Amino acid sequence: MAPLKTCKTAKRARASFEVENGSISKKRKQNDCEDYFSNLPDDLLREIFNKLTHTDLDELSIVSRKISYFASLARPIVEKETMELFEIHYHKGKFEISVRKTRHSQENEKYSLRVHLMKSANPVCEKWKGWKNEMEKAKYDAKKTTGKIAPVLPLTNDICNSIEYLFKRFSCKQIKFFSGLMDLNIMTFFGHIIANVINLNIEFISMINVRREYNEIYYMRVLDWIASLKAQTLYLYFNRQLTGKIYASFLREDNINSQEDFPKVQFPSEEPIFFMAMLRCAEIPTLVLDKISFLQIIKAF
Amino acid sequence: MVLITLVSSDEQNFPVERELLKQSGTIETLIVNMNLDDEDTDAAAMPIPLPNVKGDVLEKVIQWMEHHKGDPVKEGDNEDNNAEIVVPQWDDDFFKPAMYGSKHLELTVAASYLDIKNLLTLSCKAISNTFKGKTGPQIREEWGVPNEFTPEEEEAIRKENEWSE
Repeated sequence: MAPLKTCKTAKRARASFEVENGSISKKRKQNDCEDYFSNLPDDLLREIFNKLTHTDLDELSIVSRKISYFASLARPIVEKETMELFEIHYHKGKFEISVRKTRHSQENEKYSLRVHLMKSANPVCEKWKGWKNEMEKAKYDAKKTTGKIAPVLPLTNDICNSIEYLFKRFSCKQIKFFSGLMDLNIMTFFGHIIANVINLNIEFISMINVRREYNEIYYMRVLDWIASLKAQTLYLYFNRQLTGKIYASFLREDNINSQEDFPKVQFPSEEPIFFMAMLRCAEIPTLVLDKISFLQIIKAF
Repeated sequence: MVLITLVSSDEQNFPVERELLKQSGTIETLIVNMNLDDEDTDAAAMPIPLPNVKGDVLEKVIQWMEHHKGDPVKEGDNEDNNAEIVVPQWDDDFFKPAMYGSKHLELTVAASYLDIKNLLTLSCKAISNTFKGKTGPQIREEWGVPNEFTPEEEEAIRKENEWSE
């Protein structure tokens, strides 16, 4: 049996550890200038960084190039800050996406991304933390109502990166789309972003009322896209001018919150696209439609 | 009480209670492979070499295992919710004196090598806690990380992250 140095050697090891570290307070020793932390194995750096928040990673990203790289790797893994609501507005030449901590957050309690299309051919992407004063807000509102209708929002890389950044950083329970003119690029982009979010409530308000020149195929394509988002709860508040055909394409037999004052319904049940839309919507657990009388629809059948 | 001898990279011997070593996946595998649990085997005569762990670090690891004797041992991948991990007071006091030196990092590397999941998780969490509420320059100073960024580069990164509170 090999002779054991145990007790003595163990004591010596303990003593050397304590002597070496006894004088180390919270700060590093002045002469201990070696960068041990950056030299940790990659898997340990990942393990450490995965236990942080986005705010911590912001600070780590300016420490060094290597640490910045590992901070970026941890972004998809660390907990997102939970927000109540994402709001996506598209109004006459201005695009705005806001992230609200609570449904009734004050202006300065939300994070926003604004894209201005009014004055320049090239959209300006602006990160925005709220109105500085009431006058500024009034000025913005005035522009919003008097501005001419802008072309379809060009999704530049800058805009896409900024929107993706918001979705990577914050998780939310609900997304609201306001008055959005959804072209194929926008649908593809948001479809991709929302695809992996589960238990999401999605709300569309006055979305498909902007361009009369768009035909029914366009509407159906948008509706098909909405259905494909697989929301936990889908709220659809359309313009009344649309035909019952559109409403009916989202009909399910249960979970419909009926409301009164529904325009006259026409059911093009012979159209295959109608059945396809019905089929896809069947995967949505809860569907809420505005101004629709469920009984009226049932009667029509 | 069965003792098993661990030998550190600097050839220090540590007799350790068999029961404690169940916390280490690496050593547990070696014990099984070497049949050290058999009644016929003289476990004390067959020391386990740990060429990647220095004596002072192994001493700390054993000290930690002694305190956590009887704790449930995690199996498989770490599925803890990272945000909910809390470092207990005893562990915090255990890690703190060596936190910003090389020793704590060596302890973390040893926990990884020896596959002691609870120690690895708590040790990493303790390190990550040192970053909380600190600015980039403060972290740099505390951990001795050289600044590689020009002021312009640093400003550009800050601008990208300006949503941070």
